[in-house]
Amino acid sequence: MKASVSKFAVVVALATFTTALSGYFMGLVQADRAAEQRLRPAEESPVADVSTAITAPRYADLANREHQPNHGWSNSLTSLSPAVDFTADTPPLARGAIEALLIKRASRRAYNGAPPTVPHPIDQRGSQSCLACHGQPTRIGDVDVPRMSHALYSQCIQCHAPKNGPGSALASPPAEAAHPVLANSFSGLQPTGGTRAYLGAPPVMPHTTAMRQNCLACHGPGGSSVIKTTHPQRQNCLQCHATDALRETLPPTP
Amino acid sequence: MEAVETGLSSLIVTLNAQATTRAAALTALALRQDLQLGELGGNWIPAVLESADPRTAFREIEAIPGVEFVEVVFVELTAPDASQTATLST
Amino acid sequence: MQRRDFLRATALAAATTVIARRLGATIPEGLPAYVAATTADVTPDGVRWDKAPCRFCGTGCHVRVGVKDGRVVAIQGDPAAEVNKGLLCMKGYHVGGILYGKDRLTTPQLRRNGKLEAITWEEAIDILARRVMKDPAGFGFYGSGQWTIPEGYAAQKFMKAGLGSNQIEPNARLCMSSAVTGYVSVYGVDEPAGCYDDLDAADVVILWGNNPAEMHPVLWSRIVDRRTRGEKVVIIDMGTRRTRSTALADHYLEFRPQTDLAIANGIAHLLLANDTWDHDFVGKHCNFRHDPTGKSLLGEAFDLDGYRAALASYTPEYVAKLSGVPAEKIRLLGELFGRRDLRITSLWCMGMNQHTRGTAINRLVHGVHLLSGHWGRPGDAPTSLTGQPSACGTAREVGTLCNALPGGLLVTNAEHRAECEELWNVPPGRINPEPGHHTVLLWEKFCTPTDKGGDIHTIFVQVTNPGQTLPDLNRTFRGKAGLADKFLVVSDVYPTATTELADLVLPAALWVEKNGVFGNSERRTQQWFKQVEPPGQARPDAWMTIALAHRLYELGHPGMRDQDDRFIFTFHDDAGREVPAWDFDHYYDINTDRALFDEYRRFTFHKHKHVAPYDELVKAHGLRWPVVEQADGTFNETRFRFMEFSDPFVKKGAGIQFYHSVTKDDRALIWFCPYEPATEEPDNDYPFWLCTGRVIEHWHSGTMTMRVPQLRGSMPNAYVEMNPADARKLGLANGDMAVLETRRGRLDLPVWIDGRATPQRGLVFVPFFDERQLINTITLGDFCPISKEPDYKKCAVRIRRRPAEELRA
Repeated sequence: MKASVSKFAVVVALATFTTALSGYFMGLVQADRAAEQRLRPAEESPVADVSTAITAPRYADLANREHQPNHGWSNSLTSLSPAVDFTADTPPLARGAIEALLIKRASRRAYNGAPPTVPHPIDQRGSQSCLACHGQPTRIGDVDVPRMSHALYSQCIQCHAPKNGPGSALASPPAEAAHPVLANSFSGLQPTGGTRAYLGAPPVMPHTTAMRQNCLACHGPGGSSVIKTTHPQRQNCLQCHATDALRETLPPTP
Repeated sequence: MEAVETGLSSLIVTLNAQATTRAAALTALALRQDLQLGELGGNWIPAVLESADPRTAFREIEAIPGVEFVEVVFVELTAPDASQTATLST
Repeated sequence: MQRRDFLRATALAAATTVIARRLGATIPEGLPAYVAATTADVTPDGVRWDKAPCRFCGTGCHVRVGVKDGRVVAIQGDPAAEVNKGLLCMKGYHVGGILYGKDRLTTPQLRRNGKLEAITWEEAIDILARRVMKDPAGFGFYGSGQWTIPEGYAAQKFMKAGLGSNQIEPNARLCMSSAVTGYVSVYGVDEPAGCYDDLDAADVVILWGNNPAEMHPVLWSRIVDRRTRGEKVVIIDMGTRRTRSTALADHYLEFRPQTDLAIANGIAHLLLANDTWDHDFVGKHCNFRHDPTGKSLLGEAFDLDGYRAALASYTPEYVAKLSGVPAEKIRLLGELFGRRDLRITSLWCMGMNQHTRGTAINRLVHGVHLLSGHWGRPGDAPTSLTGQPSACGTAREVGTLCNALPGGLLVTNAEHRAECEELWNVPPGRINPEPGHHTVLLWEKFCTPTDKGGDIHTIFVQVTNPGQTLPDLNRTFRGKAGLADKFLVVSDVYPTATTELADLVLPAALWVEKNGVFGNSERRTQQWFKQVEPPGQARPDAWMTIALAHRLYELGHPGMRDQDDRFIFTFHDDAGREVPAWDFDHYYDINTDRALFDEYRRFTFHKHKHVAPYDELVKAHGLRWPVVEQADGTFNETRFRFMEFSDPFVKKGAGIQFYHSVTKDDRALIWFCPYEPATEEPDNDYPFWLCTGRVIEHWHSGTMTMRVPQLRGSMPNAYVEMNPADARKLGLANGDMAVLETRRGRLDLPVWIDGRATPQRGLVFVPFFDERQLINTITLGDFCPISKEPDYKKCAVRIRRRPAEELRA
């Protein structure tokens, strides 16, 4: 008697637990319908045959369940590359890579020196989230995320405009189609190479250092420039690479 | 002679504008053996860091309450060669 | 170990130098308050760099314009400029692109049989001149705060000294005239006493219905970047919607539209109730004032007892009930203003100015600062910002308004008229003593048939786009269509909503395609030189005005001659030879900008607004007036007006002196103005408030910025922004089309929820930059009875989801 009572209690507990658990996941699946198809309280449930109850899915299987919103999504956590290795010398880019990078770079700014546009949708309200990725060199999947080339300003979206508008949240009205983007013939300044005193001498910077104080942001691994440092382990770039006084627009000395 | 092995970095430390927090931070900075402080200007104080492990030291300085921001202005990494060291140390 | 010591010393010196340089950016008192601008120079890549103020807002950032092969190819923030210290916003970085839209207007065009056809400049000027000649009184000149100072001055002189007519208005009437009436009624003279340096010194910054994160981004960065440097600045955002600025504010006070007056009165009430008002400051420097009629610019004398009694009902609880802001937040504001150890700067722009009670709320905010003594120290300032690059310089200082003369003088004042007639060397009585029509009235008259009292037959529009920016467009602009005897002349750089109805279109030179001078929000006058050629036959607006005047001179209009029978725009070169600047081939024989500016400068002395000589401006990145010549021949600018430590016109020992005081006793006025409901409040039929405004990407009506791919890409079209709870109730989701209807019309717009901003419940926001979605077809034309500035921020609207089958009407 004592044994059967406890056995019965275990079965009830198991059934209740299973129902609750599967209910929880059903809830996850169909949050909207959950309100209408409210689960009956546990004590009203008949003691069911456990073998017919829906089994809870394993976390590992969640992504592949067909009715799930994330069906087919694959995470690339495992393929994330390790952080950039700053201790080793790196070879210069291959020719094809240079051309691809040049095209990509030009497509994201109006002229050499313009603040690059943002190729992805952004938080329209503030800049706090920008630093999560752009505060340090990052590689997500096969995307290199450039870090800031300048000191921290609080308002990233003051200068960096999202290239493709507000994103899917605000689709263009039909009027847009009837009145296409107006053509503009502005042709921006393109980058030029720097000068060297002699073969093998460290090249002089062909641009100003304004807004480009952090050299490795562009010239380090993952940066947007085609000129990649072969020696990222050296931190003090200005030790060898001279700024060009003819280009710098320094405030006049008092 | 050990000192020659250590890297030398020039820093600008931005301090909190609140007087008490700032004073505490200044004390903490002054207590560090690896740090030589210059004169406070506005919220900034120049400092020279000499440490065998500058990265760790940098992180420690950043973590001091009242230190808002640390910038590296100048880094000296090259160890002088033996002959130079000999000449200089006589 | 000597080498080590040397290295250590070098390292310390390096860091110390950087700090010294940073601190050196703040120029100490007593030194010449400007540094010489770098002259144009050429970098090794063949780019010529020269200075220019940005073309867009009233902040007045300086850019360095990079020109190669005759075209602008790059832009830099100018590190030598005090305003922006090397930083720009996304519009500034892309300002070069505005010159190169493929649809630039390049030839004069006349509408014949409904179609615009190319004509010559000679024909165009002749057609316009003959229309003016036929009936000069019915001719209106409509410009803007985008006029350069010489352009605005030429138009002003042409109208008031030439035609003897006051029918000249700038679109600045629509954006800052309430700030003007506010300053004039409080201090007796227009424009802020403080400057941007206040933003570096303030402990508390209060935004009165202002969103500088999008509208004045560089000034916003100037405030919030102080936090990055470890400084503490408290930001209080008082607004009707949560914006980018709210995201960095310490307190957000969301008030019901129109109740900003109640909040300001609530602060004054608390200062009196807690006895934390500044007895000393008020006793020495202030008088009380009120305006029982609600329509008077200068009002009537009042006293402290009357003031106290008038404010008695504005308890925190009553203000909370009106405004929806909790009483404890009202008390917080009262306590902050009651503390003298803090420095408080108030900022405002269109939120307070585009208001049917615009003059009143401007007076109240000045009053709160004066009553609490938060006035007269760097960082303690009530400061209005402007939206256009030269709203201050051209509209306010040159006085291109229907009631003003240059330098803050008035057409209704006989002495002022006589003084201007003398300076212009025109016969006494030339200047008309009757003010002309203010902007809304001017356009109403233009859109009214002549036989029904529409006494304006021709309007010449320069540098603005009234077809998009006037309120209630169907009444104030579209009404022109079909009126055969009305003639609209538009000088612009691109086709716009205004050129759609134009009879004559004139192609204008833009920004660095001509010489120019702008005046920004902090009294800073900024000069630049022409750096590239305009496209086709595009010409500067100042030339158009001078050429028009000369054609009238040839046709025999007596007003185009001065007392010595010479043409009113007579210029001479350095050798004293006359230069026919009206003939475009000779326009650039001399710098006409320099001649016009230095002529205008003489008008600025009367009200102590001394602008610097042109040649001084060439050397500087702008100078803040009054710019006063020193004994050694150098010129010093003034950062803080009326304050002895900075303003040379203040009597020694006075400390603070309001030397243009309305009451002639060197005192400023603390006004009482009651809260009153808006002229059109939401009701059962139209249950929502409609507020309009700007976005960071686009400037004004988007004519320029919508042609820059980077800016248009970022914000391609207008939308309606609403509170998520309201959207849910109306069954609207992101991207759905909503129908907006007011008593004036209908507009369909896509819905954007929790996007750029979130309005309070019951309020929707629509930006006005999109010429394909003209929100001003449904806005209200009601205006402040004193400033005549319309309210674009408040009218009643109803909203519904657009059924899929319903096509736009």
